[in-house]
Amino acid sequence: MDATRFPHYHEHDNQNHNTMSRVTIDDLTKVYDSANGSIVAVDELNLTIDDGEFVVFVGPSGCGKSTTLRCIAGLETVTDGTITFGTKDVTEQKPKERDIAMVFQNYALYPHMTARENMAFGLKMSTDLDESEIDDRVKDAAHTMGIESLLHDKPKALSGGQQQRVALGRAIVRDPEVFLMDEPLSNLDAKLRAQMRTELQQLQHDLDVTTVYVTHDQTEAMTMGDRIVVLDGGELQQVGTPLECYHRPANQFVAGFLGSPPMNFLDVKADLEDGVLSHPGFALSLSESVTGQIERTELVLGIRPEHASLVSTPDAHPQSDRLIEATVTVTEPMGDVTNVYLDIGGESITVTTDGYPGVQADDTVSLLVPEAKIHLFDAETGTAIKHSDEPIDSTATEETTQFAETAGRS
Amino acid sequence: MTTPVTQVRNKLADIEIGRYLPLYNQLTEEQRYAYKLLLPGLVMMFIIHFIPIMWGALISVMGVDSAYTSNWYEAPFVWFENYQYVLDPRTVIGSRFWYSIRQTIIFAVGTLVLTYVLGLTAALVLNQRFKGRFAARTLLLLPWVAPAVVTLLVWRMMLQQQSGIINSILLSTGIINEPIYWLIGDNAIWSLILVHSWTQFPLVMIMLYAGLQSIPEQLYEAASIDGAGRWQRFRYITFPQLKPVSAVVILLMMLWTMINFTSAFVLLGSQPPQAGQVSILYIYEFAFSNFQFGRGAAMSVVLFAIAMTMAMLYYKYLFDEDFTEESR
Repeated sequence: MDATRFPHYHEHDNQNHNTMSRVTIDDLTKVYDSANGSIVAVDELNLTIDDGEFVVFVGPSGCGKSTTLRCIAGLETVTDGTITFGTKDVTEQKPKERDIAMVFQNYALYPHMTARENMAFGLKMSTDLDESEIDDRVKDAAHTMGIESLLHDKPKALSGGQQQRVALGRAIVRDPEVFLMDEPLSNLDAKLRAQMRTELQQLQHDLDVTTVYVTHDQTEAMTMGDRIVVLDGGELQQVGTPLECYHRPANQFVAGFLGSPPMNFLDVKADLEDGVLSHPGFALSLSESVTGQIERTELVLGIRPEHASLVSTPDAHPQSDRLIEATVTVTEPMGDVTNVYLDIGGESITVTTDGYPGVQADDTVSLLVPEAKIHLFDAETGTAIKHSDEPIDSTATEETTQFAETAGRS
Repeated sequence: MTTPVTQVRNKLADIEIGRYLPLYNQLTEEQRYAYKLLLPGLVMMFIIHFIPIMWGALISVMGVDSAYTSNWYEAPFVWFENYQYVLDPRTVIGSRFWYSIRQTIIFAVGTLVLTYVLGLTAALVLNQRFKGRFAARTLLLLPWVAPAVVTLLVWRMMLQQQSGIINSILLSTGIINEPIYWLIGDNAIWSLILVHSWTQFPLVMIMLYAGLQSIPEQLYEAASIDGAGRWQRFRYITFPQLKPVSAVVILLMMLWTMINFTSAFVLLGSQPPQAGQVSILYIYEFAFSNFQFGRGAAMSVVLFAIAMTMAMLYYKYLFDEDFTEESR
């Protein structure tokens, strides 16, 4: 994929593309009226997406991510708030006036048109290019997507992956200001999805078009976006780079949503005088620097499976007083790693070890939970109090946090 | 204990169908099961459709007239004399028959256009979200659901030249100065098309409505993002997507109109004006009032052949590709 094959994309840059394609969402609210009362799908969402940025909206079903995308597209009317492209307020504009292209989950290719006609349709409708210019641009886009040989086929004759490529081709041929993608890979099989994931990233990088990508798949969220936007219940939970959201989650929801297997959570009580977190199965002493941040006693301890470890020689361990005894319930060998499920005082936690943990069900093991890696959340509000110290940027080890400003939102 | 049902079942099981139908042995168990399920329908089709068609074809080559009304099988074989007689445009009978065929085609095409336009419009309206659309759908189905004779007689009264309400309205609003003869003279065919379309358009409507409902919403969303306006969405999405169901509707409407007897007979009576004398009425009048059954049967076979030819041409040239592709 080479952007030089797309001369007209560079024209765009010359026209001061920069300020044009910044997407600003101000207090966006979408309320659906239904027979059982109104449902708030998006609740006062604020977000700025920079020109050329790849932003991924992620969250569980019904979190409002698709609704937000459809509001940006103009397919849904907005109850309150504004959406701005560059300096242009598009809130009341129809989709066709917004200069966007969208890729749908089930591709939404026009079944009665060939791949070529599908790709040419947008240009035919929204530009006054003549036939040969349209044809050239379709060929360019087809070349980029590697589907030149499929241009005469109708969607029915194409495989899922090929249809996906035509749908992407239909989007890029328009050369829009903003790409909107609504779970575009979720209908593909696992292998093809992984391949398309990298290909899409590369395509977006080459074309440098502002992209909003909606997914419920946290792998796509972690790997594809410049920034990810985590939503739940119509409310913004956190905006940040993937590693920020992973290692500095603003709250318990974000912490639990990103990561597979997910972060372990244990309800604990903090004894601030002695500096101890107590749980029916264990007590964990804390250093003063950590207890200083704690104001409440009802907390949730979070530890990622890969940050806890099993200790084979507990007696000789330098921190033997910090070890927690647990019983193995299940081991899940994945090949490269093994997930070990442990029982601590009746609660289940997961530890990811290397491929050969040397334990089996019903073994009693010692678990090390390093203080530096634990997360603490307010049990009532879920707000993060302490994070793990994992670096979130390959170039910096200092905590460059955006969580502090977003943490209060939840 | 064997019940009569099981006795019958055992008897049936003993019959070696393969001995009488060699092809039966080549079928898989599943195909045999399918044919058994089809059998009752096929038997009914055979009795109701196939036997009368064959019988009509047989009579069309026999000299069945008033002398043979009770013993038609004793009538002599005249082979194609009946056909020569009814198809000869130089005779009164022949020229009137050809004229009736022309009127039949006008009737079929006119009805087709009108029912399709009315049906599509109604279907598009019903496909919008508005309060009372379910009530509207039921109301719009009434002309088709109501007994045809009732609807047609009401129309016949409304279209009366002297006492009909339609002329009365047109006169009082000043649109016309003289009452129009709707059911007499050359207007008869247009009245017939109008009234028949009225009774038939709900069927077109409901089929197209079902077709509209099956068009994925996302196609419209994709099209509006691609920059298509309301009319362009109809032109490039709705209309092409309705093609398969339209193909069926058009074929059925055309054939059913060509062989429709009820509308023409009830609206125009047994002595219709010539313009309204579509083939099926002419055949009926000719055959049953003149006791010319052989020649009437010959006309029927000609009408049948014309209808089938039109259907075949239509299917082959207009819809073959898309039709088979969609149904694949």
